[in-house]
Amino acid sequence: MVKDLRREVRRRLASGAMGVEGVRIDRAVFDVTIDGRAELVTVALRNGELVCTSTDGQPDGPHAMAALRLLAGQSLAGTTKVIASPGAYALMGDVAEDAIARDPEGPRVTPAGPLARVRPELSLPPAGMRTLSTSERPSSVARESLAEVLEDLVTAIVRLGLRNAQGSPSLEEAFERLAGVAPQPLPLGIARFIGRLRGALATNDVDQLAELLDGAVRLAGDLRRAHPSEEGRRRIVGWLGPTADQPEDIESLTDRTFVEVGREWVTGVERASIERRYLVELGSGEIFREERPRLLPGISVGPCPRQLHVGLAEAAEGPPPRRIRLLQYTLSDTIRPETFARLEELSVRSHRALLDSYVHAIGDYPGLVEPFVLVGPARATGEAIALANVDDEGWPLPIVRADEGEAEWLDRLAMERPIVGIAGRLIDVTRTLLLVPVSVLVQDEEGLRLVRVR
Amino acid sequence: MKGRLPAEPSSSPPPDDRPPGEDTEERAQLREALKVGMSALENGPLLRVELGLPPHAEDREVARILVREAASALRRGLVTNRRATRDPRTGRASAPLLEQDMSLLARLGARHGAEAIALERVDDVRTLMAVLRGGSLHQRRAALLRLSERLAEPRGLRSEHVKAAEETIHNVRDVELVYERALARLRLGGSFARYAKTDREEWEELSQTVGAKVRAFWEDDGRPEPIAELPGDQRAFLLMRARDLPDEIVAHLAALLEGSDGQADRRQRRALLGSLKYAGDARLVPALRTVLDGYEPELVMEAARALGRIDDPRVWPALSAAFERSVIERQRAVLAAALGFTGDVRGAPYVRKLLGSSDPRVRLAALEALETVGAAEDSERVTPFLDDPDPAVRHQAVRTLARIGDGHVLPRLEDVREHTTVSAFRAEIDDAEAAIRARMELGGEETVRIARPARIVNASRERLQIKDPAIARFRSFKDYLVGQLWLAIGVIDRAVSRFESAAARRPGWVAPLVIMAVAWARRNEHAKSLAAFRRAIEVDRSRIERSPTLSRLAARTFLRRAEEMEREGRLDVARGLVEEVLALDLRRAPSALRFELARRNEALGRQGPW
Repeated sequence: MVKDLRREVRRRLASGAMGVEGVRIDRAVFDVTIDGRAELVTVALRNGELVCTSTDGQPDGPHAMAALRLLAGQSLAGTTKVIASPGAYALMGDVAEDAIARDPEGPRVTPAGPLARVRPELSLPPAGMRTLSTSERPSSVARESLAEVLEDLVTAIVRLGLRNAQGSPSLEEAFERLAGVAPQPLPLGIARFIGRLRGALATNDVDQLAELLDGAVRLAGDLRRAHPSEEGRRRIVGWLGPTADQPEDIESLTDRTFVEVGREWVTGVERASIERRYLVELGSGEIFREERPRLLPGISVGPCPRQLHVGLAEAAEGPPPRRIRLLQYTLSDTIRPETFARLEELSVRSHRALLDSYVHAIGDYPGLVEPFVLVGPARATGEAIALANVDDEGWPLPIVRADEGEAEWLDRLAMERPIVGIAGRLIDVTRTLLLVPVSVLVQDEEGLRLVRVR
Repeated sequence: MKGRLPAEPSSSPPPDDRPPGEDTEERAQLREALKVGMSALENGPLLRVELGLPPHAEDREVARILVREAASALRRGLVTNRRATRDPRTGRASAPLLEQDMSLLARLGARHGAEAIALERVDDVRTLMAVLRGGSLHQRRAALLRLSERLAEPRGLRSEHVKAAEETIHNVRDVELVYERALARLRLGGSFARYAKTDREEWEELSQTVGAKVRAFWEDDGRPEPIAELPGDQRAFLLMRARDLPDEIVAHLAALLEGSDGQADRRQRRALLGSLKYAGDARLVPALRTVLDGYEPELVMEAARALGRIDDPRVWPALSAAFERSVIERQRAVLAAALGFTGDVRGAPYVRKLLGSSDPRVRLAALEALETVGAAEDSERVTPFLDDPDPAVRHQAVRTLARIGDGHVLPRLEDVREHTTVSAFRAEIDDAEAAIRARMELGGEETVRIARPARIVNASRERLQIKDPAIARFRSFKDYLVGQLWLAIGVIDRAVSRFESAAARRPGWVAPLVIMAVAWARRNEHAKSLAAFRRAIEVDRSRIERSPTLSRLAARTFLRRAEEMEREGRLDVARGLVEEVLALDLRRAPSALRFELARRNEALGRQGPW
């Protein structure tokens, strides 16, 4: 593998296809698999010092050493597999060898913390779509059983009707069977579905109930197909996460800047059991979500709001906002004014366009998608925000008032200072698109700042 | 609909000017079928035909098609609607349960109800002073600020009223009013403002130092968490004025509370929550609500205590929901107390029942709750707790009676005051009496002045009255002076030797003991300072209690020594030290110190050091 890689790199360099004049590359990322275990290794030069970090937290572990050996042009052990951007390898090779040669004590590896943070300085092209190795996936799903249970659940609710379903023994049994047959630990997609379904039953929300049940029916259909369509495969992964027989496509994101604009706890199988954090990528404006069950690890650290410089992250396919896993990052709790200005620029200004994308999203991923947006109201000051959240064309996007305290607080805030952006989750109630506010961008004497609503 | 599957929408529907909620016939039918259920639907076979299915199609197939049709119809019906400016659902499901009280005090600064009177419009200085002593927390805060506003523009005020009001503001010792007192003193000008400015400068310096450490903590992995690193009194000093902290530090505190720092464990989060009890900062509401929604009762209770004291509309719905779902007695009592701060007294009947609980912690929580939800009818229930063997319960009973404000308990309080030898308890009763009299004044009742017994003089004080021989006085004074000279040039061992000689010659003379205690305290020799303070308190307790400087140094010495003991794992010794200093009348010590001592006493009581 490595020989092939090296040969290919040399061939391409020799062909002159890659102009490298005036370019300085300080960092390379490698996907190293040893005995079936894959880790991402980053090798960088920081102020002339070689820094090596690995996602297994061992800067001198076998994966990191394999990457270093590769850069030094040494041979690798038989079972080692390395995937790297060919250009990165070729360009880093000489630089790294020089750095090692200059140090009389040999290669010096800076230990990284448990979070494996590195400071990114110059971009490498993204490594592209990557398939997780088998060892990282959960166990396979009893697809037929899960489809059966989902259809039983839908049938039970439709038989009983919304008015009689809540608390009925047959429905409770269906929920138990669903939790029993789903992969363990319970995927967050399923947990959230159960939480939303219970919520729709408790509040007699027939529209939401229809959407959720439609989602369950579609998932059951996808699970029953031996070869689901591309959309079907995405839906399965969105609900269940990657499984042994249904891998997940991952997009590697490198050297990006994100701002966390909000976080909230949403209901899963239990109340407030799923934490979500919403991150805006400042380049494209795409919003991502980090997600975890309550108080379990597996999520980045930091306050909200915060600015993150991400060396390496993985974005999963699926419904918007896409799920992201931050692997290497630095963070700052101070957000510069130009960053806030960029957020204001990125905010959506047409509520009709929002509706368009919302309808598409719930059509593709019913029962699963919960779109999150940053909107820039044209008028949101001097009067209650609930009456004033309108776009440039005068179309309103009402604020949810299910939590009267939050709505009153927002109204008061809007009376005091201009609100230039509202970040929140979109929902629909009685044919009306509504915004659940999570944070607001306000203008005060010192400039723009982000204030959390929840 | 018949015989076809719904087509997925490919673009947004056109703007629709129908009122939100208005359905087409197709959508209405589908919604109705989902609401009542197939088993209740009289025209079930017809529904099957409408859905394009045979009349005897299986329920499972009908359900599958029905939900797809309904969801598809819903998507097609989604609109942006110029008339849809509000959430079509009704507002809050329930409203706060308010006390039916039309008295002046109940209406002053009330958040709900047409009869509310804004404290900002009250001009009468005597009324404001009475509210400051006897009102609820939010009333006391508003009264203090309004009083300082009135004094800043004293036109039309009589000079004796101005003087009395200034004295009142200066003497505010309530730890809950630290932030407002600092603002008020800055407005007053003169020496008040100078003290306040110096205090403010110290706070700003600390805030900047912590801010820099917070930035370093997030930007550089592996640094210790800066808030946990602060000595207890400094942490309290910083956090009691959290409302002026920069956004970055508040976001940091929120991250710690939410467990987003990757370091703090449950015990540390609980300690931080305790320190934020009086922060009153609305920026912390989202994080505190996150903790309140959690599943750890101890954290939920601390979060409720902190939330109740924040004036923010998001607080009531969160506390109300938490109270309704809670089943743990102690937790529910604490939530009832927090709801009481918002004016909602729904928890009153529940906590009254808990006063008879066999669990002392539940009884204490119930007493605490009656402080905010109790009424005059509760004073008889609370009075017996004045004789409780547990000092924490006795103190809480006095605080509860103070807030209930029933004048009938004054003779009983006088009686307790007469028989107690603990000066801290006496001080608590003094404050309670002042609060009750203030409430009676606001209610137009006559305040009965009860003749106080002669001041209790402790035995050690009596010893001082015995005159020492002139030669002993001369020699000890000489030792004292020489000791001061040694101290001035930094030779502390020789200075202490002289002070010890002076103290040995005149055992009833407190000055050499005080100067030794102060000298050791300023050198951070807490163990030695502690011993000297103990001897000074033994000789003349009131000298320590009445001096703001000595009171502060003594409290700080005991606290720092307790922290040292705690770090060494000697929790019993630490607890003993904190309890010992809390028996002193510390009203003249800084609020941050008193707050931290009380917080630490509670933490040590449950074996949970910081």
